[in-house]
Amino acid sequence: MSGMAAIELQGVTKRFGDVIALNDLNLTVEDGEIYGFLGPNGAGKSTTINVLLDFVRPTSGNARVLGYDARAESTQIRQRVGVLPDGYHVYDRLTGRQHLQFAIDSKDADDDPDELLARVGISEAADRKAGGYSKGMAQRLVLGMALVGEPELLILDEPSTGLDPAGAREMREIIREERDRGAAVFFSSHILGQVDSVCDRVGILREGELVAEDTISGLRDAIGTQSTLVVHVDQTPADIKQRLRALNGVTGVMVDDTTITVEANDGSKSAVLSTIEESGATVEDFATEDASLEDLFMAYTNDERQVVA
Amino acid sequence: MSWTVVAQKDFRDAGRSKTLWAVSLLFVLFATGAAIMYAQIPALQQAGANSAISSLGFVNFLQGPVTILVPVIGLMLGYKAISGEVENGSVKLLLSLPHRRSSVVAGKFVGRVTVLAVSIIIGFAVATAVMLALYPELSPGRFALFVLLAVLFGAAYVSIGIGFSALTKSTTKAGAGIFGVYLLFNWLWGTIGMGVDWFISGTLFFRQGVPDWYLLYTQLNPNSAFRTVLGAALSDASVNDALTAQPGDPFFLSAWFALLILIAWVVLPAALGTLRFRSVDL
Repeated sequence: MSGMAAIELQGVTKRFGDVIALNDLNLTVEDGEIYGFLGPNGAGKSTTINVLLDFVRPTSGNARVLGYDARAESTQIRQRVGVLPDGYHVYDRLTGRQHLQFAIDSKDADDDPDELLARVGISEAADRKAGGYSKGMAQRLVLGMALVGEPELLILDEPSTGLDPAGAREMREIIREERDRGAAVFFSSHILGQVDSVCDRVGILREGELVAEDTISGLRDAIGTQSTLVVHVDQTPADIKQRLRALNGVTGVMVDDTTITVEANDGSKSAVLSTIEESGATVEDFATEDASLEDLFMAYTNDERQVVA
Repeated sequence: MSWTVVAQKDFRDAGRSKTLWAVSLLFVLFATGAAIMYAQIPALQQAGANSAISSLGFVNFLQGPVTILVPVIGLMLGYKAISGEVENGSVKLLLSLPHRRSSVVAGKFVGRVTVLAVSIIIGFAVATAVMLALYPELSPGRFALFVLLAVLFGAAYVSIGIGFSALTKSTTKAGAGIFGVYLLFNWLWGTIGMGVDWFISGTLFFRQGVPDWYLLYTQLNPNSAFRTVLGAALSDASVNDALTAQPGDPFFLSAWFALLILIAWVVLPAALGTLRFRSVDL
């Protein structure tokens, strides 16, 4: 498998009626890396994963997983991939162990169900019907099913859903172990905090398009020269947004009552302040904050902040 | 084989359904009750050569109620098979594993027909025990054939149920579909045929004789096909005589044709459902 991409999407578009869920999406996940797939709810993350698993068929474009065509060779893909899907439901009448045994039989694997149950921390619930599991336990059970057969790629859709902080930490630990074993991991999240400590690379999806893709350190470098300027004024001139946005080095402006928040290069601070003064407002107070990864994520995904590319 | 894994899982899962056990219990009660009633009430016994209670007479007596109850069990087993999993999302677990969608339908069909067979066999085993206790003369071969045909008949309705469950993502719609099918085959089929004849001939109640197409139309109903096959299987005639049409009758009145129709009902609805299920977004 060396040299072959774990996931390769080329120009994938998916329409549901009039709604465009994915718009000409190109994405590559390399063999052996942990890729965090970020974006707000409704950005198209689950649709992307559904295309990879042949749950939905793209309107146009082409998806390959581990070198196999997602449409024509889906069973080969699912034989080699472990999946934690989104919006799933466990079989209420089957026990935890029966779920794992089903996954093992389906993949013709030789894992020990008890070992996997122990690994995901639900050994004590092995013989209880899964219908009585909490959301977090069900999530652990399905993660256990995903680990069956030492998959070459793990596809995890919002894996931390329903987990408490300790559970989310165990989840990240398992993701790292799987990567160290040699698997690639592709997981989606709408919360950056779950991602930055574990990912080799992240992609940010918004309205069906990839708006940013980089390593975590690359993203940190990119925002290192950025800061957030919070300016309190006596009044906000009507055209202040447009004026500020026209400035060089300003990437985002948000106006809330008498508070103006500006994302800008460090060098543009004085220009921002003088522009506000020139527009007729009086600056009463201002503060600078270094931008965090969270700010960047918000800037990319929050509709209220207009990102100037 | 992928579908055998699905079938096993589905048998375990559907086999634990309380509704199903309630229906099976109903079936056992019904079969047992019928056996006792048949043995106790002489008027029900077939006026055979010596008016003796016979298992053959019992089977004939059971035929009517079976035609009403087995379709209910079959349809109920089938209609949520796919739609239920799509509606609640468990299909995502199933299809995250390396199963083809056609294997999912095939596995579910086999799993649920097995559940049906178990329910029918238990029901009739209890009935047989009662029969043996009340009246020792029983022809086990014929009785076994009856059970086998009842399972085949039920399989046709499981297939129809699964067909509906694969056509829609909503169990409510699938439920409405099977309710309609049940009404159609049990109550409306003849009336519709008569309406068509009225439209064609202008007279009601076949005053100009029963046309050939109507005989064929009647045979297309799985219930009639089942009755025809059963009648032939349980008659005293040789297998060959029983299966072929009477001289002068059209071929479609023969039992082998009815058997083909029954098999078509077992295969086609699930096959059509598979075609549809393979092509949809989940």
